Amino acid sequence: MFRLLEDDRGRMESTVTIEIDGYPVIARIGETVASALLREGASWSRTTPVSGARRAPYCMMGVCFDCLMLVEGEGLVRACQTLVRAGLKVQRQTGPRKVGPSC
Amino acid sequence: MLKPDLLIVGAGPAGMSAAIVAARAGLKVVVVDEQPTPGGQIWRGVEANAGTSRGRALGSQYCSGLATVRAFRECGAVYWPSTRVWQIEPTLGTYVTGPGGTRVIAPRLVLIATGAQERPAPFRGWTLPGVMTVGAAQILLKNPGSVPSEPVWIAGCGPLALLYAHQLIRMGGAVAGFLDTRPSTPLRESLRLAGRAVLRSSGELAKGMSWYAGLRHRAGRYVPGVVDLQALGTDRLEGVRYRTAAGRLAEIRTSLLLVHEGVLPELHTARSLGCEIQWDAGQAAYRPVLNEWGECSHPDILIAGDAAGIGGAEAAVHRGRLSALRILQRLGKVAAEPGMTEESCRAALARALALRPFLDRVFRPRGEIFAPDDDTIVCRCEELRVRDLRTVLAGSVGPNQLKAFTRAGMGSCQGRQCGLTVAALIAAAEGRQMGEVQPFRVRPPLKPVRLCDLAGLADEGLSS
Amino acid sequence: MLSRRELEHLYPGIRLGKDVTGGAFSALDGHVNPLRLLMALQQGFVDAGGTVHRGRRVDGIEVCGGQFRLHLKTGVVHAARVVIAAGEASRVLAEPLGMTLPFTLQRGQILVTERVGPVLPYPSDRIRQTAGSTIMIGGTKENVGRDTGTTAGAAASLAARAIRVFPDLARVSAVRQWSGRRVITPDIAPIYERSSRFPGAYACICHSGVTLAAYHARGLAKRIAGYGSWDDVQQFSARRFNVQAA
Ligand SMILES: Cc1cc2nc3c(=O)[nH]c(=O)nc-3n(C[C@H](O)[C@H](O)[C@H](O)COP(=O)(O)OP(=O)(O)OC[C@H]3O[C@@H](n4cnc5c(N)ncnc54)[C@H](O)[C@@H]3O)c2cc1C
Ligand code: FES
Repeated sequence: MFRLLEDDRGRMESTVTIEIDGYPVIARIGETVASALLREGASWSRTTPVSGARRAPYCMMGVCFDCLMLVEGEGLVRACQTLVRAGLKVQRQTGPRKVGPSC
Repeated sequence: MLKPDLLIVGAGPAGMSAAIVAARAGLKVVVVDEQPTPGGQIWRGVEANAGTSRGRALGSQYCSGLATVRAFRECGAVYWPSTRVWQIEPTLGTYVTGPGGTRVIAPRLVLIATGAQERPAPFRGWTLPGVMTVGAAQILLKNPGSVPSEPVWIAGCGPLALLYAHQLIRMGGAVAGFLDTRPSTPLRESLRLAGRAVLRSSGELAKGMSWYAGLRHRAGRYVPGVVDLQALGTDRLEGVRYRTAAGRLAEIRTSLLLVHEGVLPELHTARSLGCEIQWDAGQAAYRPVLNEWGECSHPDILIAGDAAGIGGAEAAVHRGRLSALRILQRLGKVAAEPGMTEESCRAALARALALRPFLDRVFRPRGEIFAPDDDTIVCRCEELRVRDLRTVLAGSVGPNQLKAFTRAGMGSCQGRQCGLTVAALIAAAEGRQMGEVQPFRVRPPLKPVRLCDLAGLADEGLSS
Repeated sequence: MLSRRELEHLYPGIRLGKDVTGGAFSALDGHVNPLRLLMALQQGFVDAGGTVHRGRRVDGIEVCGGQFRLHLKTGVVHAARVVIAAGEASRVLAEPLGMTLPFTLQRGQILVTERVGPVLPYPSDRIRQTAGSTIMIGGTKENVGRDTGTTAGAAASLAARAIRVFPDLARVSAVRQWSGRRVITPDIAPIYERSSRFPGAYACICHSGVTLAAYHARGLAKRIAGYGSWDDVQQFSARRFNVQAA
């Protein structure tokens, strides 16, 4: 849905690779997981626990909680408040999250 | 446990300005903010953007924030970025979680400078991926410098929608169309309000007019008088249907719609402490009850910036300074800067607020957003539609019972997205004024917190 | 009583903490959603022909010519029989009708987590998973009068205990904390009172009104309505605490 500007600031910035649902995604250092996600073809972040509907980041400022994703196995993390770092593993949060010995 | 003189929540214009005055006067100040860098919403990422082409495109008011951010960095206040406050107890015990783990702060006074959030304006389909707020898109513009990949549709009312369109076009993005949801203002009233304001703020008014003119000129299409929106699609946005005041129905194809209906003070922090609030009809929003220093009904808490009532960045700076001056007074200190006086701050605040009544009137939200139709989702977290609330609404139960019966406002966002709409629905159902309806009681944690972070506090001997 | 091994069989989806040595099990225990119950009771009452006057506070009750006069801000309501079941507000209303209700208030704080997949198939009094799949951890017992605030200290000890029993919950997030006041009589059992001075006046206060709802809605209601003997209810009179009738 979004693309990066090719301005002089952009050229100075370096990138890292994160993983969303196992796929590599290139992100700029200093940006959030949600902002990287919004450049992907499938830009949804979670499905709701009630009806299973898809949601995507909505407010980007931490007040809607629609960007909840699993970050390094941690649930209920707002992707719009989480900075990227090399190798960060992120998963879309589908339904209520699982708890148990394997998590 | 840290025991500063002053804890400031929020490192935007208000929080930083207050911190600078207080720290320079010798107070021990701690500032916490959820964001990784200082600047708040308006000056987000200004340290990295100022001096680049992106900074120039964002405008001079944006870049002017750099001076404040630099002064803040050097003022001696302890600054914890990427840190969220999840509870402030009435005794001011404050609990935060950030990169340093979970910590407790016990300040003598607290200044809440948490700013604003965009007004939730529910319409059918507003939860679909592809519907976002204009504020969200502007955050992406500042960092990492993302623009909609195709010409974008914007729907809304308020200076931010115009500013974003203006900035986007300057950065090489494109606006496919603008659905203007601003209700037409009676000409006489706006002229009267503008008349007074023009004398004092002609520059800003001219700037605003030029954004408007530019938008009408540069947007692919400009549709005035839009009263109803519907986002179409199943898994993601595919189109938008809209209706104008004149009754015209039309549909557009798009995968991205940016919406904006003005902003509201962030009240959760203050309300979790039981601070009194009131309905501000001019701004169509609740705001805290404050005196001229920003002191609220809790004796040791002050509120500044947009969290005190929407006033914009410049007013936030002066309100922050005024609150800091009051804090110095109460703790027996004086400001270190010679020009930092109550009189100069009040004069500057009055200038900054001169245009506000005019802006509030011209961009007053349309009544339709307070009365969504039965199919519209009100509570995004619990996926409750107006229909689901109807039977309970009919029983005159009040917001807290409604919450208990339906779960509206019980999800992760804690009513930040549905609170105002629910209050409006209750007021309508009972034929009462908004001022007579109190929104949901706010309970901690203000933001979710892991059980292990909570349990960590028990080890510190905090458990009861 | 169950051994740790037996407990593990009851909770196959989640590990038990190392300090857990065993547990108690009763096949009669269950979980009722108190809000749904309240809604259902109100609906049942309305369906049976009752009327609920919401948002109307009773400021006082008088006896007048064998009738009870309930003073509301909006006017007076007359009744031949009155049942005072106003929770902690019952004492002031019952006193003039010759019923003394001894109780104290006790604050209970409860922590509620995000929704998670089903892991706790059985409820316990300290931790249970609701039908909405959130986990409720509770509750504290505090004598703080009418204060219904919540404290981080309570959240900390509730969280610590939950993790001690189920360590897998450590990284689950709390989304809500709330508190309420319990009405606690000297022996914790309910008080069912029938005024001897003013026949037709009754009082009913208790903690665990959710658990006792079935009895209140049937057995007790029947007796108040005049069917069946009051004898077996008599033992729940406040007179068991040696209070003087007012
Ligand atoms: C933390 C906590 C945990 C609990 N857990 C459980 C549990 O697990 N199981 C269980 O069974 N119970 C539990 N309870 C207790 C249960 O909630 C109560 O026992 C129950 O609500 C009591 O019902 P009641 O009808 O006596 O009083 P209430 O529910 O207090 O109702 C009294 C009603 O009277 C109204 N009223 C008061 N004064 C006036 C007036 N002057 N005029 C008009 N109306 C008036 C009030 O508005 C209210 O609606 C718990 C309570 C707490 C605080
Ligand atoms: S996008 Fe709204 S909380 Fe992250």
